Amino acid sequence: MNGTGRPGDNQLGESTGDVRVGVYVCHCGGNISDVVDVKALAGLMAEYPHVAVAKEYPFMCSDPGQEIILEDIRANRVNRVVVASCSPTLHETTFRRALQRGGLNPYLYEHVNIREQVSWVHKDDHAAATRKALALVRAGVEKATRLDPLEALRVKAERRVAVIGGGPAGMSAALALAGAGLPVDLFEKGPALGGRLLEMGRVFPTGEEATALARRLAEDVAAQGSIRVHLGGEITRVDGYVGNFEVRVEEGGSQARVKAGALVLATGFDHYLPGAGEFGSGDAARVATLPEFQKALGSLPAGKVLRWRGREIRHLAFLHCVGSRQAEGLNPPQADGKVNDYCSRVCCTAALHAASQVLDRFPGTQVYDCHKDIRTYGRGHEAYYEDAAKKGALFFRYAEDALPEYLPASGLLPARLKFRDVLTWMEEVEVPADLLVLATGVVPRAIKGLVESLKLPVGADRFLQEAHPKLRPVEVANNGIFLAGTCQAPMTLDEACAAAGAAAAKAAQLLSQAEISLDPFVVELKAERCTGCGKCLEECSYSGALKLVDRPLAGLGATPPGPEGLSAAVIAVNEALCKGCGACVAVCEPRALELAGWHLDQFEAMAGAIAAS
Amino acid sequence: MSILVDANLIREIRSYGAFDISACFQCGNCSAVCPLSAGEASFPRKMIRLGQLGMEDELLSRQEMWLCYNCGECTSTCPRQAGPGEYMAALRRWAVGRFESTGLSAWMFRSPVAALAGTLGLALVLAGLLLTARPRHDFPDWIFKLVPYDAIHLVGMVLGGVLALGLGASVLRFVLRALKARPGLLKKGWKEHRAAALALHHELWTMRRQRPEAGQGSWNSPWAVHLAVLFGFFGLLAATTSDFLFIFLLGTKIYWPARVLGTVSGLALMAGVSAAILRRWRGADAGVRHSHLSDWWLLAFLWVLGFTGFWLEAAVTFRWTAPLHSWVLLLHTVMAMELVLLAGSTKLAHAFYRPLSLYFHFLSGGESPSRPCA
Repeated sequence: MNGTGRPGDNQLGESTGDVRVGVYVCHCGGNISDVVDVKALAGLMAEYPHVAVAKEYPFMCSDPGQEIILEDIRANRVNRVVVASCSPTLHETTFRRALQRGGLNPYLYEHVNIREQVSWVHKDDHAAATRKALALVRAGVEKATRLDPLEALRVKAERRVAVIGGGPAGMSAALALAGAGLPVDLFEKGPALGGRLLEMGRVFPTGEEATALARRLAEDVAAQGSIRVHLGGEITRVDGYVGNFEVRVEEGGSQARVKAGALVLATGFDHYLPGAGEFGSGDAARVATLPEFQKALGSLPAGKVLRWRGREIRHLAFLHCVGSRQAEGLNPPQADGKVNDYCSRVCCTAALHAASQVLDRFPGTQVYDCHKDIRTYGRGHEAYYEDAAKKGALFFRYAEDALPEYLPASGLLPARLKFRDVLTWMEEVEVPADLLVLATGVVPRAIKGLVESLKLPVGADRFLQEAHPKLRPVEVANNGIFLAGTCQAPMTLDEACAAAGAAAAKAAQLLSQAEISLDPFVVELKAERCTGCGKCLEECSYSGALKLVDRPLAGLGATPPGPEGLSAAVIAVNEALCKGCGACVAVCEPRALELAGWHLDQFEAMAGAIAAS
Repeated sequence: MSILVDANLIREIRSYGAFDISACFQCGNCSAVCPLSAGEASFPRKMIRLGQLGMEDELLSRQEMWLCYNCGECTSTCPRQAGPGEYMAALRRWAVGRFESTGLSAWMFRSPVAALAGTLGLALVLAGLLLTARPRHDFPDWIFKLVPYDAIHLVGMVLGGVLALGLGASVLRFVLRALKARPGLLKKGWKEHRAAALALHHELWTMRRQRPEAGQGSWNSPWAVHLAVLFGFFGLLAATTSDFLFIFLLGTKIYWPARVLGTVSGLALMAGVSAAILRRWRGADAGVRHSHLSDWWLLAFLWVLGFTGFWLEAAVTFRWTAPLHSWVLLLHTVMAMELVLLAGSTKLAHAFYRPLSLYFHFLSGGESPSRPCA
């Protein structure tokens, strides 16, 4: 446990022998004090063993509130602090920093939540609420008296980033990282950089050729000496941990290993493929997916009427939300038994962009647009909607309680799409469709190997999931891994590039110092107690955090005596991979494993205090 | 039975002056703000949708387009500047064209060049007829030296017959379509017809559905202007008809009743038409901000007719005998005849379709609006 603090370190008055706890009860401006008798609480706590001072104050988190704590550390030699206030999510860090400013180890702090857990949920019984608060604060003090000073973990980091995926997001991330002075390894399994850009026609909102954009990015990448591009290789395994990842790639028959301090995942998306017969798909001359149509549209010669696979298309219908916003019981389930209930976000604008191009170039082709809603949410996207409408496209909004039905051509009638139209007061309408274009959605790419070897979190929609949708939008919970683009969710090109930039910035920030500091709440091993039973290995969800290693038998007290010179297996902890979940602690019978900052004797003392109240 | 969408109709209606209608995205703001849209008679949104889907029969059998008084509130509220008010006007022109048999109307509504050429061509034909007809009996007045009175009389009678036939056929088509779509109207009893007739009578002579609330209107509100034109027009029609039929009984003295009626009505017409021209010229409100050639055509005809009417009155009264005044009579006569002849093919056709539509609307239980047009 290099670097992890031990009890009895040379900290100002922090030896367990002379514990002086300061207890601070916050009113939270009435949020707590209107229900809990804060004065009585502080009064009672002042009498509690090891408590040097107990005070109450309207807002402990305010500067004067924090100043009270600092003053008590100075004048009253307080060396453990308990604040009874709001949720630790809100202000635990605030008070830890206050301790640090006062010269104390910031982990000699215990936060007790008497707002969410007491005053807000027991409004009607003030006396009982005060009793509960008292029990919780006592438990907090019991834990505080047993706290050890801890130090943040530090791991050495490889100054190199591996970017997986050579599409627009991957290339953007690689360029941003190279620009920040970091060497980059960019892995693309295809034969050329560009990804999905290589198969698109013109892209909104600029109308540029996608292949030209891809070329531009690839040229920029090639011009960067610090980006090593790996083309056509298959990644066989990725493992390691923050600062020390290893990517194994098979390139032209030989294995290569690349070490990297951080990973940027830009593995992209797949197009939804309609099932056999879904809205008439299968008849390639009459039904196309939007990506197919988009790709072909650019090379079709302009004329009076659009021609598709040798046929004149006088009526061109677009159908939105194919493979997206599916409803259970209505759409057939996907391979995993679920439906794609999310919005793919890009198809509305892409379909209208295509419609607008058709209207410009083929004035004799009537365009019909059948949608659930139009979701042209991005800057400049609405213009395509308005433009297509003004050029004469007709819009329909199909009722959501039934799927539109594709009717093949019969007799004099062209092929049609039949549904009830919300805009026509729920009348059933049939839209002629010489060609039906299905605006297919975005689905997660199959990256099972990567997900399993890195234990990546996956959301209900099967896309990779960020640690927090608002506050940590491009990080996953696993340290050192960042998400760039559509591996995370459906995105437009500009959003994917923005996400790539954010992921690159996060990775660069992480590797800005030679060492990375991590939370100290990881598992501690008392090696002399370990029997090498291996039960903890089965429980651990974080690959590589625990492993069995051989140790010479001599000196291992707990294991049964064996023949001289032999070794026995014991557990070793990789602190950088441990997430401090405690699952291993629960199954360790000899109590060889403990969680720093959450020792079992601390829990026992807390439980005892609550039981005694 | 589902509706097979036909996109040609909306393109056709667009060519009648609804040039921005493709921008409509069916939000329904227009129907929400329309003071006259209520219950079953819901417009303009539904009418736009019927057009977008190509439901020609449905549109032609409905009365909504004729219930609209073109106040322009929908157009000023439209979030997409699709001009729903213009659409309603275009729909009326399109319907006039569809009910008319010759195709002349559709041709003139859709092309300004055609409208001008048609008007001018017809005027030349009429002038030719009037100038060459030499009947046996002639009125011995100097003013009829160029265009004989009997020629006017004869040509007028013939034109009246042509008009009656043509217009009759159009109106019959309109009525049959309405009745086919609403067979319930045929089963209405005498009492219901009486109530509908009373409501129509009340509406026609007061235009209360368009009347501003007390204290809200002005001398040139659309309601006041239209009412002045309406009374002026009918007064002149009555005066002219009696002049036409009973000339030998009444003579041409200025104080004779038909002449007095004509003078008063002419003043009302001139005032109303002048105000209407002024409003359109200024684009006073959303209802007149966009003008179709057919709007100007009707106003121009009415104004010139009124003006030349007073000119002739003065000429007769003060015995101006210069040849110029005979030419003015020719102009006046030709334009009056043309107006009557084209009554079923121009904007004037609303004078036939609107009252009938209102009648059907009242007969089917249509409520009067709770609030008037602004």
